Amino acid sequence: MPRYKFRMMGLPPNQGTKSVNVPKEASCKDTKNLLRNAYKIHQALVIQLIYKGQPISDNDVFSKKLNDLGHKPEKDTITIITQQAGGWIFQ
Amino acid sequence: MARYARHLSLEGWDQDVISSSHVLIVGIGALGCEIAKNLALVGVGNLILIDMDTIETSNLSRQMLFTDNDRGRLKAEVAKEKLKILNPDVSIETYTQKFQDLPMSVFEGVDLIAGGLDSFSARFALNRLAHELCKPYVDGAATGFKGNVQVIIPEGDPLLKDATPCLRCFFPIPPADEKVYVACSIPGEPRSREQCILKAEDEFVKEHGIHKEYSDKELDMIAKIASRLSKESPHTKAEEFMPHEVENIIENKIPSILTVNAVISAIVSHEVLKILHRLSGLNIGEIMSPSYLEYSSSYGIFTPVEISKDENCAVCGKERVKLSLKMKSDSTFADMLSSLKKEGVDLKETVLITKIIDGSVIAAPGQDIMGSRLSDLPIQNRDILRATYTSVDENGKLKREQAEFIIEMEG
Repeated sequence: MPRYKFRMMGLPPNQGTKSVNVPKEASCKDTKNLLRNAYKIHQALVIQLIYKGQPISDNDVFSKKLNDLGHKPEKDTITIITQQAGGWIFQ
Repeated sequence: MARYARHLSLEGWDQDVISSSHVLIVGIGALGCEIAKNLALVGVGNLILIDMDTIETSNLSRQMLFTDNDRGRLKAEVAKEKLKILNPDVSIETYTQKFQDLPMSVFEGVDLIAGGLDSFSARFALNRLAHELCKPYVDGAATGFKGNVQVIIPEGDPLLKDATPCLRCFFPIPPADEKVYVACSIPGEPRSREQCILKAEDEFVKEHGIHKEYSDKELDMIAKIASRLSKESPHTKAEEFMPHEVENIIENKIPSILTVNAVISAIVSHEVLKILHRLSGLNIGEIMSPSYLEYSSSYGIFTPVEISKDENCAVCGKERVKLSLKMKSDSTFADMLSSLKKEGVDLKETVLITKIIDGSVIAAPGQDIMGSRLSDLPIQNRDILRATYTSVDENGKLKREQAEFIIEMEG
C-alpha cells in the first residue's frame, strides 16, 4: 500500500507531519476519511488536500491524481487544510 | 477629523477615502460584530449589515455588540444601534432577510464585501454574487481554536491587479449540501450516530411540524427517537443520545471562542481597509499574499497557504456554468432530466437538485415530481441549479458527482 507524507496546517511540524498508508484505489474522499482518523480532525471541520497549490477533488483517485501532478512519494508533502464547514460533516 | 487624528499620520492613509466607502458585511455573528465594530470605529462612512437571525443567549459570550436585554431582537438592528453609539458619523443600513432574497441594487453600490458567515452554502452563494458583480470579497471563518481568512479579488479591476482564487477554486465540489444529501439518502436504516439524529428529526417534524428552533423538551424528544432508531438499526450500536448532542447536529452549532474570532476579524478588517485604499489608487500595504491564511490559536501559528486559481472553476474559471437548458414553461421535471441526459448528464433516479443561490431543495430522492411542471416548482427563469447524484466509476465504486446548469424558460 503506498505511503504518503502529509503536513497538517496549524500544527507545529513535529506534530503536523505524518506518513499515512493510502490504498491505491482510494478516492480523495476516502483519503480524507483516513486523515480525519489519523489526525483526529473535528467533525465541524471540512478537509481539503492541496498539492502544488492545487486542491484535489473528492472524486479523484488519490494515487493517480498525485502521480499525474508529478508527486514523489518519498520526498513531497501533501498539505492538509481544515476549515469551518458551517455545520457537521457526515462522511 | 479629531476623532481620526491618530490615523492621519499613518503612511499612505486617506481618511476621506475611508469616510466615503461603502462596505457590505454579511453575517452579524461572532465575526460580523467584530468586523462591523472595527470598520465603524475606523470611520468607514457607509456600512450595510445583513443578518436574518435574532440574538440568543449563547451569542452573548462572543458577540460584543449584544447584551442580555437584546435577546430575541434582530441582530442587524441591534448592531446598528450599538454602532451608532460607537461612531455617530457612520451611516448604517440594515437588512434582516437572506441576502439571496435582496435586490441587486443593494449590492451594486458597495465597494467590497466582508463575510462572517457560518454556512458553507451561504459563503459559496456570496462568492458567486461577488464575482458576478466584480466586487472584492474578504471571507473570514472560525471554528474552535482555529480560523482562516481568504481574500478574493475577481478579475477585471485594474486597480486591484491580480485576481486571486475564489472559494470555489478551493472547493471544486462544495460540501454545502452535505446535511441535506445525507438526510435525503437515509430512507432506510441509519448507519451512523449523525444519521440517527437526522432521521429522528425527520420523524419529529412529520409528527409535530417544522420548527425553526427546538425547546429543551423537544430536543429531549428527538434524542429519545434517535436512541430508539439506534437500537432498531442493524448498522449502529444501540447507543443513547443526549439533547445537547442533538442540538449541535441539527442546529449546526459549532465550537467557537471570541479570542479566535477577534484575531480573524481584525485580519479581515485590515484587508478591507487596504483594498479600500487600493480602489482609490492609494497604498497602505500589499493585499494579503498568498490570499489564504490559516490561524491556529492552540500553537500561535499563522500559516499562509498557496492555492492556484482553478482555470476550470465553475465560478471564476473559464468553465463557468456553461450548461444552459432552454425549457418551455409547460415542460415537466422529467423533460428537464431528458434534456440534461442529452447534454451528457445522466441523473437516473437518485438525484438531489438544489438552487445554487440559497441551497433550497427543488427535488430530493424519493419525491415523485417527474410529472410536475417546472412552472409549478420553485424555479425562476435564469436560476442556476446544482444536481448532486451518484454514478459508478470504472472500478464499480459509487462516486458522488455534481452538475450545474442554468434554466432558461421560454414562453
